[in-house]
Amino acid sequence: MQPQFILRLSSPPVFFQLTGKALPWLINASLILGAIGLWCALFVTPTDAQQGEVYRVLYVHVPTAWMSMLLYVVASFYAVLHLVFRTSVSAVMMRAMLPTGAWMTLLALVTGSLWGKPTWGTYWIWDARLTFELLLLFIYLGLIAVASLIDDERKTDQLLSVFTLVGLVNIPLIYFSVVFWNTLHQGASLSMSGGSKMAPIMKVTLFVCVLAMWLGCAALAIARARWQLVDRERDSVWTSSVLA
Amino acid sequence: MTAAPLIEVHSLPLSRGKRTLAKALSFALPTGSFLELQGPNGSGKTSLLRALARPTARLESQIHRLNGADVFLLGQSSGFRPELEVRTQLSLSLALYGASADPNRVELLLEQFGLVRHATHRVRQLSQGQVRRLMLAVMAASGRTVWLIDEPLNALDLNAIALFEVTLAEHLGRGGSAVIATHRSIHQAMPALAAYCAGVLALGSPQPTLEPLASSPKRATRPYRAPNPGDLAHPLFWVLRRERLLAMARPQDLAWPSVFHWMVVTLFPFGLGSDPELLGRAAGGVFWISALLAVLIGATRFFEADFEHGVLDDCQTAGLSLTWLVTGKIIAGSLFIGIPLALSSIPLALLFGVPDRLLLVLGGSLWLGVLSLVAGSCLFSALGLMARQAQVVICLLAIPIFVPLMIFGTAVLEGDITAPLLTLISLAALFLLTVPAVTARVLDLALD
Repeated sequence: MQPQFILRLSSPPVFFQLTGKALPWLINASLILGAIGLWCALFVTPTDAQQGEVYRVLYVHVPTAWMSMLLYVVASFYAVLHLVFRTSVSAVMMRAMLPTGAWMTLLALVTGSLWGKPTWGTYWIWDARLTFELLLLFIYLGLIAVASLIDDERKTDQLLSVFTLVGLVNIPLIYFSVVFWNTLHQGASLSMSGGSKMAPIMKVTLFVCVLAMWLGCAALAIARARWQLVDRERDSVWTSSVLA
Repeated sequence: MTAAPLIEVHSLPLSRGKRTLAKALSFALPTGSFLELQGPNGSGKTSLLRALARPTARLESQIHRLNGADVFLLGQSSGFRPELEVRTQLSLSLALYGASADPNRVELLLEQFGLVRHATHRVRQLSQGQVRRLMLAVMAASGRTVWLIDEPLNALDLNAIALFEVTLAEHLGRGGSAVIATHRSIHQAMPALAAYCAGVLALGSPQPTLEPLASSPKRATRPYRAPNPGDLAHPLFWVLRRERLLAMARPQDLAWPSVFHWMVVTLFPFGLGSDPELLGRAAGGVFWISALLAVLIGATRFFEADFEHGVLDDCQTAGLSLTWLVTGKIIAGSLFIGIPLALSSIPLALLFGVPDRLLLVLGGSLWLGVLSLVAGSCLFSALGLMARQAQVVICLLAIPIFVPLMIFGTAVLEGDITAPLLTLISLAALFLLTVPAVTARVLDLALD
């Protein structure tokens, strides 16, 4: 029964119906968790001994930075699915990840530099990790541009799949070069050693924030995918019955 | 006894974009005869010929080639590069189809098709009719069994029409066959061919039918004999030979990337100041950024000309794998762009105060870098073929791919040499092994 269920999900009407039922739950859960997470982050967690109040930005920064990379991996997963099975559901899911991923990357960069100003004394530093994140933003924007430049939808789906995977190859390459780069360019880099010394309430809050962001991104991507799916299948029978 | 078919088509759907032109076409193309395709503009004559020449994966089950049939498509684009000499181009085209391209044979063909006076001219200097004659010459000598011909009478004078008639009759008599799309009736223009006609397929209705002629030809079957079979060299050699001839046709182009490289590098002391120590430290980055720009500025040219003149189509029809084509292009790029750029960097590096012992290392690493840069730009220029309005912008999307190159390339000058150099070598190998297949996939989509 299980594999059949997954196969049925690749049928546009089934996907549309199921996600239509799941979407309100996702949105509500992410809003509630987000509210709890933010309240804890602002009022419950203690002030950091070294960084003071400003460290609270990290409750937003860490989830967005994480999502920016995770969404790319998820988009690549759908790219592989699309290259193998050529279904429209995998194509719209892949396309739907890209704008959300780009926004997450932008948010991570902005919150990061807002945190950097009081902590490092500068908004921006050409540290490997920051540069890497900026590059990820360029890759997202490039893919979004490709999606809009080519007229033929079927071709664009395949091209986007190919180039999403090309970009994925780039990510570990850049990631490993971090080590190499840092040995050449001495300078401040984000130290993660504080992670283990975090108070339990901080950890829980961070976890709640990450979960809220996770659900929120899923909701955004699914909503966008549904919209695109109806748009590209507007001539088929099921869309007219759904929209009526 | 009826002739054995060379191509059978079973309920083939014909569409352009999302519009269906015909629901289910079925016909067989017998040995030793031709099929006339008729229909108004936009009825799918050219689409059908293209489908027959290059069945995409979707149509493979509907189009069957039998009895060792292979095809030649004489379409609207020539498959010739305007900068090549007529004689060179003819020899290259023959070699592409695996036909004998020895000089005597080439001279004979030029004479036969009335092009002998133009043998040393460039293809660009030929008139439209003369280009068609050259295409006919390639077709006549290609040794392919099935000729797919789109509007053969366009731009041909009376002499050339007679020539076409004789060539085609000879081909059909030899056991070949043809599909001819035309507005004008073949029977009126070329009465000698009437005896070979297997029927007229009228497109333009949802359910086109083949009308066999009353006096349908009954011919003894015999296997096709190619006029002048040659040796089919490895496709990579053909591609490299062609790239060499193209480079020789415009030798000045070999210098431009290096000149550009010099000019960009010269700008940096203006921007950074003339402090020798600072320039020495910046040299690696400066040289690599400039090399990247020098490759990217020419990146749109990698496939554009071949795409526009139908060379890529011809390669597909001839069965030359696009993967080999891309591999050849990358190797040619590393030779024709990479070597001049690397060599010209060495004196330039001297001026930048790079230590003597590192000069050769810099040159070598730049050469490896250009190989990878060309490969990456190939991939994105293939993508650019589908978004012509933004071709240049799309090539810029390749830049994130080049970041690892930049890191290891500049590291060569800053300490340990071996580790970054080995990384550069493995990156170049990775690019050379993976990019051609992926680019071929993208080119396939562009040609579809």
